[in-house]
Amino acid sequence: MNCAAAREMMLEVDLTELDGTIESELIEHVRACAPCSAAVQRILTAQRALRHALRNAAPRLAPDALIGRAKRHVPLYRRAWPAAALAAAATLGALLLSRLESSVPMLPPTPPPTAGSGLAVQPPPGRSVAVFRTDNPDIVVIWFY
Amino acid sequence: MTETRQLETAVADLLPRAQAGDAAARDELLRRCHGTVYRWALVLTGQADDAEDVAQEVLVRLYRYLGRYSGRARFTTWLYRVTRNTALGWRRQLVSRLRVLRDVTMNLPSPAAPAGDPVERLHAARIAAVVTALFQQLPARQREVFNLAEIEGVALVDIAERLGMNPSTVRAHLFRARRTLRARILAGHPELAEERTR
Repeated sequence: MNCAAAREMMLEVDLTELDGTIESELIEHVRACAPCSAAVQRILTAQRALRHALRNAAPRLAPDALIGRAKRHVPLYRRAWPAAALAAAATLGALLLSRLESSVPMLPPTPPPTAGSGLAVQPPPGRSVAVFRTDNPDIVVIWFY
Repeated sequence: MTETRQLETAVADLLPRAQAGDAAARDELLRRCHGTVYRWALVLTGQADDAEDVAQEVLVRLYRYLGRYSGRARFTTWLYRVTRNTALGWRRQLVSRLRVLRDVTMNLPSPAAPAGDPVERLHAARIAAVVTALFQQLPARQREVFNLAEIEGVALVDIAERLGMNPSTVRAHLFRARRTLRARILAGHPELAEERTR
């Protein structure tokens, strides 16, 4: 094996082959070639440093603080709360309605709109029109049918 | 033993009790998962601050949805997926806020250097800084596969299961990551020269 082939191989092989745990043609060459040996050493040093850094990375926050946060996000009996809230709201609503019915005087029924407003409205082609007046002089109902 | 295996062993007795509603077992389970989840999140997000946030979110999800773990896959496989999905959601959020690429370094701790020798400590810290920066420049998928295979020592078949990929695709990502990282280590980084004699 020449240096060019060794340099190519050392980019891809497993670490066990690079560090000589596994015998191979590559490691035989590396043992006999100082520049290739230095290159392999450089890769191994860097990968060891990376492994150490990644394996020893630790969060700043203590897990107990996070567990407390997780608990706050999930109240106990989480599923019971919406039902209880709904029941309370329904009871309150029924109470309010019954009180309103007894205290507010009934409004007189609104008379239905009367046809024939005196307005001349042209219906679109193929349709008819009816115009109604209401109690409010500002409101006229125009119905195309 | 890989970190994944260690975690699997560490939670084996806690998991059924936690799922059965034992609050103390559940809290202990979260405690034991926290560090591993954080390190996974660190690789996935590339940022220490984001990793903290993702780890927090994962613990909240773990607390709420532990009952959904059915036991069909290994617990660590399931946990990794939860972490990954959370991190991906986080990344999407960041992209939408145009906050990506705000930092180059991962704020990783420096490797421990021989005590009492400031020169050696400085040398080790410099190596760690350079190589973690090179690592972070890898595409996210390559970073993820490289971390699982080379740092954690997870078998390619298991990585494929975790990531929902074909093993040959995992292998291709790993080879690409190795080639890129090692080529950059060898090119123009004399500070990564052979380890000094201790």
